[in-house]
Amino acid sequence: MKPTLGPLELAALLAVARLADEAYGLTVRQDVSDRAGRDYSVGAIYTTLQRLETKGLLSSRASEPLPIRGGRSRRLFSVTGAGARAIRDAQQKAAAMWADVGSGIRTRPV
Amino acid sequence: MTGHGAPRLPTLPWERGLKAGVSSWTERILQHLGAHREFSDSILGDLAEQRANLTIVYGAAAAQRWYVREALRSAPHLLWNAVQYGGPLGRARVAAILAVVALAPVAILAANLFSDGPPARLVIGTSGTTADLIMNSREPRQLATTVFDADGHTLPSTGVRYRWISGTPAKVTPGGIVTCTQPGDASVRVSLGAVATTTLLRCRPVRDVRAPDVLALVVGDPAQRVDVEALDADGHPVTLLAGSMSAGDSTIVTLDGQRVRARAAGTTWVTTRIGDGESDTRVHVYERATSPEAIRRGQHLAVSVRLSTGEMHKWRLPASRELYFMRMIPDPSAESMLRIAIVGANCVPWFDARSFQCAAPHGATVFTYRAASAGPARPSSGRLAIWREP
Repeated sequence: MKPTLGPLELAALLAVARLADEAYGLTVRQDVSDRAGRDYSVGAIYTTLQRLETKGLLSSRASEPLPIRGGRSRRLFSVTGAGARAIRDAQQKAAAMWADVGSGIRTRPV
Repeated sequence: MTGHGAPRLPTLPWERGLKAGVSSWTERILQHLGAHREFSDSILGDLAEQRANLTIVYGAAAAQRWYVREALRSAPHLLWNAVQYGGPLGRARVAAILAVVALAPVAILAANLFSDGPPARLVIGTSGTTADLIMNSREPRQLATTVFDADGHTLPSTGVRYRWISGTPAKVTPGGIVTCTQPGDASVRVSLGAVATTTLLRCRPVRDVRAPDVLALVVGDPAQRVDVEALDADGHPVTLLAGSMSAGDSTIVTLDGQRVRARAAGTTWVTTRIGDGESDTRVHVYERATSPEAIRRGQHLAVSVRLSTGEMHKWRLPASRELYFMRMIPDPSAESMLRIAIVGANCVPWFDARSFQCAAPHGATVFTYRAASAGPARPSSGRLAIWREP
């Protein structure tokens, strides 16, 4: 059974895919917040990333410790094969949902 | 994965604020929420990194504000992570944290409501008023003072000081031990810090207390007052009294101030204490009966009698190896006009000339009659009270 994705999960998964080797909490948060127009907390982003990891859509590893983090490693995320399939699946579903909608949308005159 | 075993890196100049911040109270709180260590380390590491970046751009204060705000925003996620991955211990910790958060405002409110203020009022004695203090004892007595704050909360009375000011000489120690050496009134100042009051100490030494030797009560009758007389060293009555009364057996009688109420048939004592003297009153409580002829050992019976001129009643008492004790209890509103006569028993006066204790090994006949001095106008009534020894 394919895992279901919530809007924030999909946004985080896409952010990790975009950021590639630079995908960790801060950058994912920045990416998602910029694109969604909403300021997510670091905790919310990590909760989402952890959920995606539990679903097998992301994997994580520790970077080399950086002096800028006070001795802590960054936790770098990458999209797994299942994650890539989930992205394609979500894209197809979205495309199917949007198909033939463009000409049918009427905007109310201002 | 978290890099805790990594070699320690040299501290860079721009990193000093970050190092201090990493050990800040905010981080310690977040780490103690109980979340998965890897999860909390990732969040805290990201926050610390961003704070370091912001410190360079906006300054340390702004960066610290951002850090605290973001840390608080992330706290619910750390708590949820602790619930999910922390096991029973993590869940218990979260429950405790939430309980503390919920109860903290209540505790603060309660502390404000119930906290004690500074001393505001002194109340001397145990009556709860600042009225005069009556001393009937010649022996040293400790004065008791209750200290209240402005809201009426009771405070410890430690540190209360006492001093004789004027009036009849009386010995008053700073600790409040008073000795009334002679009759009269004295003013005593009581103080605790800036709070002070003055009370009138009324010295009325009592040497002798006199209360009735015997009281006869009937169950169901109104409470009866015990008249007490107190005398000073010269034998003069003392009218200003502060004493106490106690009942030996509260199942037989109860006390309401100076009044005694009969509860159940039996014999007990009421002790009156005033100053250095005390007096015991023996109380016999009788139960109502229509006749004493079936009286059993240990029973107290009261039989109503109503007689006109020339009338009399008689009852046959059963043979008894135990003594009988008899007396007439006049009705409260009536003059004592009824008398007792006993035939067939060997009797002597009991506690007065109209009460008897009788040996009746073969039984006896008790007569009640009206005194010859009683006028013919109205019938007289009362109760024949008989107690058979147990």
